[in-house]
Amino acid sequence: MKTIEEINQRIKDGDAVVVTATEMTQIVRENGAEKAAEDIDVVTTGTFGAMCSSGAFLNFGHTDPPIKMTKTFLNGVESYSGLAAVDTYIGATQPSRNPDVGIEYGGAHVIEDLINGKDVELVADSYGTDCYPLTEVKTQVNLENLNDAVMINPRNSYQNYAAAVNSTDEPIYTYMGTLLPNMGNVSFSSAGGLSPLLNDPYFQTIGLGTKIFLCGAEGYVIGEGTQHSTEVKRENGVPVDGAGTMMLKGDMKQMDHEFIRGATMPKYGSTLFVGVGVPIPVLNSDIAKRTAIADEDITCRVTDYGVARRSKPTILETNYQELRSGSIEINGVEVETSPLSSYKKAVKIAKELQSWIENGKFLLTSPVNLLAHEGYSPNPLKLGGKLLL
Amino acid sequence: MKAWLYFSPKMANKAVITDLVKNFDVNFNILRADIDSQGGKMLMEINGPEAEQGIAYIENAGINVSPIKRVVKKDENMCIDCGACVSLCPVHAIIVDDDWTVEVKDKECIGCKLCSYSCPTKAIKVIE
Repeated sequence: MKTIEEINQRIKDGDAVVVTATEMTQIVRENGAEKAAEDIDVVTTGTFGAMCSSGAFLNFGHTDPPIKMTKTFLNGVESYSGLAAVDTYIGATQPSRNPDVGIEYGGAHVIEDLINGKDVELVADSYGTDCYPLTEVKTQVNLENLNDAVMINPRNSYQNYAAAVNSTDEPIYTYMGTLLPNMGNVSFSSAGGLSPLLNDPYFQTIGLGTKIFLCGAEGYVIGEGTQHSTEVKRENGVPVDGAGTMMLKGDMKQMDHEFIRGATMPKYGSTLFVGVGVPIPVLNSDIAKRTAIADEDITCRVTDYGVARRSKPTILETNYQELRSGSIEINGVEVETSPLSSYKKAVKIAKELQSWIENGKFLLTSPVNLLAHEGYSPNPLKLGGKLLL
Repeated sequence: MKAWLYFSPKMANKAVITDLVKNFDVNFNILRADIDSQGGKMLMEINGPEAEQGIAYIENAGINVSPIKRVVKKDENMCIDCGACVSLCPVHAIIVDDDWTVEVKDKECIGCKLCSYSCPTKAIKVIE
């Protein structure tokens, strides 16, 4: 048994033993969880995936005369203005108001451009008030001259996520990418054994206040993400489908373009590739055992996106070792797989976080409130009228 | 070599490729073809001992031959190595390396553009 304070002292002294989740799998296999818990202080995780539920609060500063912005556009992408005068929230999936651009440039691209240091055109208008008489503003903003650029992502880094196929006769275009007809390919998203919430599946260490790697900067977990779910069936201790999520916060001014990217899924919309790495303190042998989870131990359901309903039929169950091998067998046919999240970047994030901790520049925090591990099950939205779909 | 063969409307119904194969010792592979009564174009890989003479023959027959150096190019700065493209490639020209880098193999590419259309970061360009 160790405490976070003891681990932090070892980090400060340069004595902490930090390994990636991939390395931990091998260490526990060779030495067992008891010994690994004694030897290893921190396990680092990583993921770099498309996370639509992301965005940022920006504060522009006040003009003279001042304006209370009620409609705000950044490079032609609308951001939410129902806040105080010069605060806004830019959401990743908001498309451009220009129909010729549409989903090709959305809120995610605005966020990427800001982090990349580019100037962004701000156009806003207002109905004008006695205290905010200006009714229009058109200017350029960039990350340096914004007062605040705070990324707040309502739901990131799903704990497992079903893979997708398409049983219909036509290709379909989804947030899981292009799905070829007649189950012609498989698309999967999770970083598997390297993914943050699969390495702490009962949320024994992660919660409100956990300091993390977020897009190349220090960020924080600020609670359960929206749609957090704890009631999903488990195998080998980990959920077999989308379950827990995290709400995350970070300062865009500190972020690195290498670990964030605006993207567009064709005929679906814009989305943000977010780089997340969570350090897991190895406080006891149970946590050590959980962080040893391997790709082959994590079940992943393959579901049919050809059925455009909330509950998509499961075609089969596989695991991340098979998915990552390049193909899986469906009905006797080898079908090629595509990872939708970058495993290369996920590995890089886990290693980057590892080096931050080893170099003593990143200390662990004790969460104020752990993520809920029971009692969360998202409700469906009931339609009042006739089902149109 | 790979080349685009441009067919004018009057060439559209001529069996030039048949004549090429009958008369010259060439290996060829038609990678793409889009030809109708208005003419069109064909992407062809052509090799073999008499490739040069064969190309001269089809040029003389009235087909405009435009050799290409590259079919596809991946922008390393834009690519995030996700792999969304890998399973879409009909000829397995896109692979994931041992270090999880996504590699697009120009030599095997037939320029179908399924990858470039589906790339989330627009990192793959198919050259016309």
